[in-house]
Amino acid sequence: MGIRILKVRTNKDLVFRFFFIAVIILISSIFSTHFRSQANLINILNQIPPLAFVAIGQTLVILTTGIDLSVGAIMSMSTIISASMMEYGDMLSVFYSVFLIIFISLFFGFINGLFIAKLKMEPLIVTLATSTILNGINLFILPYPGGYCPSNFTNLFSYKIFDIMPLSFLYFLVIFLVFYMLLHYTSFGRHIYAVGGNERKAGLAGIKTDKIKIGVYMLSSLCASLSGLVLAARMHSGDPTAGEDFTLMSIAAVLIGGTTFNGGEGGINQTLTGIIIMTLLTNILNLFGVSPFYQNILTGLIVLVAAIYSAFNQ
Amino acid sequence: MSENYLLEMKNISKNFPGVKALDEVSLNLYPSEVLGLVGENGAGKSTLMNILNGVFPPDEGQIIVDGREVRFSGPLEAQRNGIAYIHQELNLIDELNIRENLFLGRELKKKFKLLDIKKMREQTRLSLKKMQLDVDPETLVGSVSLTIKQLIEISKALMLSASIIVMDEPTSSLTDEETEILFGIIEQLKTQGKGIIFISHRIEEIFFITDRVTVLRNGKLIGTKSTKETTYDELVEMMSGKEVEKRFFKESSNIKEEILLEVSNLYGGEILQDINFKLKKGEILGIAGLSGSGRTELLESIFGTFKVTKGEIRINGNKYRPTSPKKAINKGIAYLSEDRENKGLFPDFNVFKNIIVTKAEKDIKSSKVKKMKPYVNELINQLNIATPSLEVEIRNLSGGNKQKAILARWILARMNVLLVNEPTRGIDVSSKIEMYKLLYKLTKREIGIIVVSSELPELLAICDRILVMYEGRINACFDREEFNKETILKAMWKKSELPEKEKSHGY
Repeated sequence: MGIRILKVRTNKDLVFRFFFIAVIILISSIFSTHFRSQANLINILNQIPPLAFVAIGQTLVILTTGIDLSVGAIMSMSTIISASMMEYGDMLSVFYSVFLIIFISLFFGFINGLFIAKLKMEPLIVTLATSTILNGINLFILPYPGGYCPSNFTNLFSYKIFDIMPLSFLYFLVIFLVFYMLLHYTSFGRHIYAVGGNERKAGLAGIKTDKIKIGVYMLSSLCASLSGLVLAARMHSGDPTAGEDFTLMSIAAVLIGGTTFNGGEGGINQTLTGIIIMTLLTNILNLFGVSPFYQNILTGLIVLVAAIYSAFNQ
Repeated sequence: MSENYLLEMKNISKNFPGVKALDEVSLNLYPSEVLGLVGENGAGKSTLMNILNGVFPPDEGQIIVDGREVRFSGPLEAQRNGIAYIHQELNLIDELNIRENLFLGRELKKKFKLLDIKKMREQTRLSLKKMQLDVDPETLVGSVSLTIKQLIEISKALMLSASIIVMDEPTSSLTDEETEILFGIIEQLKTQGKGIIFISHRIEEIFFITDRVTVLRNGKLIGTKSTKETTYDELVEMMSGKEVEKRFFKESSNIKEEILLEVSNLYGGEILQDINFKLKKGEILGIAGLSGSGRTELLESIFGTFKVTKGEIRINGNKYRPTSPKKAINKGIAYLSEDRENKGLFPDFNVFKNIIVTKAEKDIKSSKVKKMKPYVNELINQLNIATPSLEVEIRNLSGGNKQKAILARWILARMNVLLVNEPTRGIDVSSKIEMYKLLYKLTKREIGIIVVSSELPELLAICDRILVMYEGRINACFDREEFNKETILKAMWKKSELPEKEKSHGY
């Protein structure tokens, strides 16, 4: 027994990642005056929430060894409904639309979870299929970017507190806190880790693993629909492809954060660092005028490095 | 009388497609009693316990717990009724810490349904203390040893206020000293009025810990005996149903003079230090030691899966530097891992493929593989491997036969050094004897064998020499004439004072 090292969960990786973030910020601040301007700070605070919501949801799914490829389509759906149902601009129609969006996203999340949990189907296949279906519906409703989101709606997200912090960033802080509590201080959260660690054994311990899985996919969809709302508010319109990039981006943020596909290890603290790293890199590359093509290459490389790093840590 | 029973299982029968798994088996358990449940593999022990645990219902028969008849719909309901089944493969989740595992599925909550982590941590600490475990409740279960896992599992059972605790081969992967800790706990449980059903292949343990023994064979109840009034021979006979050779005695040894393997000044990882020994052709060399003494690491360092930092290994006089299993196999070194299910077998491949795989990799063309079938068949006959055919997937064989199939693989590939780790773990008594015979037979082919085992009687029975390891060093060496259980045990527990001279010339 003596030689074995008893491990507790540590934040060593997390500290390392925050250090990395500090270095990025420091270097960029030195080399770019734009980077440290107030306008860019607001810009970054604006960019974090849409990626953050969807990545937080994705984290829960990946913790259970699943994956949710339908989040992008849910986001697009969310922008489209926002842009096509609020034409009168009154609060009531805003309320109805948001309600409808949440309902649809929960429905698709439920379908994902149902197939994956009850029929034991591959998450990859199921969510790809629902994603394709939803994308089809999206294009049917709004074949090209357009529509209009009234200010009653956009103000809900873009109003700036003290002229700096957009409301959407405040929502992000709240949602992050809520999900942190959910993961660490509720049995549902602990059961997510248990299911990811060993589903069969979790079941034997009396956990209703199917419920956990369905719940996780519903939450992921819900988070994605919130991301879509933020995007719609920013664009003042809808776009059937608005969410496309976010599927991979959300997975990348989770992986960079250090949550692995092995399940049961990681969490949204980790994902937070992934979100910040991704946002900062995109922001800096834009500031330096790097073409989006190169940015894609870089994102891919970063994901690869993150994957290699986690493989070596096994 | 019957109201005194904690548990009564009456005339339980169970049919599986094509098999009568249990035929009118009865079993009963008093409070403050350890009941041994023994039988060869396939005798119906697990089926009976699974029925008790509600995994599947019996076709016929009654289960009476605390005087009332019950029928459980699943393990959870059994748990709620005071039955805890500690599986051989423990039911803990490696990714969670001890506290989370103990409270999994029944977490304590405070206001707003939030978890009461403080309280759970406190209770965890208390129950670990009861087990005399000095571990942080936040320790990840994946990082603790099997004994601790075992004890955590027992803590869990106690927390659920289980009155009946079923332990399925709890000691199969524990060393002697760890087993002793476990037995101490079992004694404690007894004084608390718990009833314990103890399943084990190790007959010595049955005699040590149980009050009565129930013997099953081929799904039938053979009898229940008071442990004090039965004998080793009687139990083995009841289990196997025939007069078998109960113990293995090695008549003579086949040691040749040539040295097959020579290890000098070997250092490895952070454990192994200054290891020196020689293995002769036809010799069986045993390695004893507590878990963590470096036994397994020594074997793995020779096989090339554990990092060697310093030292020299010679095979047939030629220098050999272990870097990978492939190289080791090319040099004729084979390793039978203690974890045969995961590290030794391709469970979904058939018997033939499993046996041929190394040979095929080494030196035959793929077109000629089929022609090997007669040889493999002959080998199967020689080693007495019970399999319906070559085409059966190997996971369907019993533990002993799987182990023999792996041996066959190495024999076919003409290995001359066999490194064997826990050769009889989880194998029933008669298969054990067969395994011993087989190893002995192999020495006639000028094969040298190194056996690591936590069962000292096993080493005493089959080895020509025993090296005792302690904290990564070779602490003592005994020739067959000097074998003595007490002295060897002592050497396992305490650093021995060897004169420097003797140390330097090696064993």
